[in-house]
Amino acid sequence: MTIPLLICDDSSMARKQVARSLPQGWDVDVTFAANGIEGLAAIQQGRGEMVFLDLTMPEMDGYEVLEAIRKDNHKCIVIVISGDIQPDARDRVLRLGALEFIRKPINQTSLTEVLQRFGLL
Amino acid sequence: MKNLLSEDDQDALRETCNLAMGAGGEALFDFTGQFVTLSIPKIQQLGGQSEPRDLLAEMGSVNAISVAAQEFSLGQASASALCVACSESLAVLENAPGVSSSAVGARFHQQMSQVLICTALRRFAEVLELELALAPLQLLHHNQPWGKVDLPKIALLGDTLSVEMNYRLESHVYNASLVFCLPEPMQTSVLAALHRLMA
Repeated sequence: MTIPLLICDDSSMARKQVARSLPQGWDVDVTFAANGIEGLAAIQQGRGEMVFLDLTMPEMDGYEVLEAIRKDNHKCIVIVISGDIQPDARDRVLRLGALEFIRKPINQTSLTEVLQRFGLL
Repeated sequence: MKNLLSEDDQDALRETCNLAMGAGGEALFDFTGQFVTLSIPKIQQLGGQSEPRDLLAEMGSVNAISVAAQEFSLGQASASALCVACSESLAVLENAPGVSSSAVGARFHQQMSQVLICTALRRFAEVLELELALAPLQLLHHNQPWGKVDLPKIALLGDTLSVEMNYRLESHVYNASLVFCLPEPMQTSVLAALHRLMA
């Protein structure tokens, strides 16, 4: 069954890097969002059952998106992909409900490893 | 002013600086023991007539600043990085719990700048896959009112592309900007590296 996948990052290059890192043959329908507001709207429209989320974004950052997802009780799976590599940043997003934190820049190996580890492939 | 960078180039530069900023943020967290709030890197094309304040749009209004400068090269091209901190916030931070340095005043700023600039530049070079060489850090100003700040030899020689990365601490008034000042030869070099990355 096709998974609605949302890639939410303010950088066009980063969105493309994530898209290029998706495992070969993974059955997903990809939507892109350039900030947290767009991302949350896509989730509300059912286009983000799985979300790859950046943290540092304009309008609404990744922490705020995670808080909104929790508040609205959306059942999406969120993996944070960020250049903010403070240990506390990882702890915070996990506390806010993210499944995992991956350091940028991402590649297919690291993304596939995480997806396999959580039984998502 | 000639702008060598397209919107895609600027996006790629901003993202690369975002990674550099993140590395600097982790180093600042280690130095201060406090969570660091990262901004979105701000890119500006500046001319030779620009004022020091133009480099620091994200810092907001501050009375006095402390400035450290680091000249560096990536491959064959040279540039400089500045660490500019609000002096009042530095003075408070010196005595904050969890700070890993016992230095005070200009020495404190120098240590913090060294940590921030070197870590961020190393990450920047690593992502761009360019060889980095660093000159010794220079302390240009300490607790200097804006009107007396003079940076022309370091930052504003001719057309410069600047990238400002503003750092704040979540539970502290600390306010500092790391600024990469990239003159035209460096812009060309960085641009070529970015194009290799995007290919």
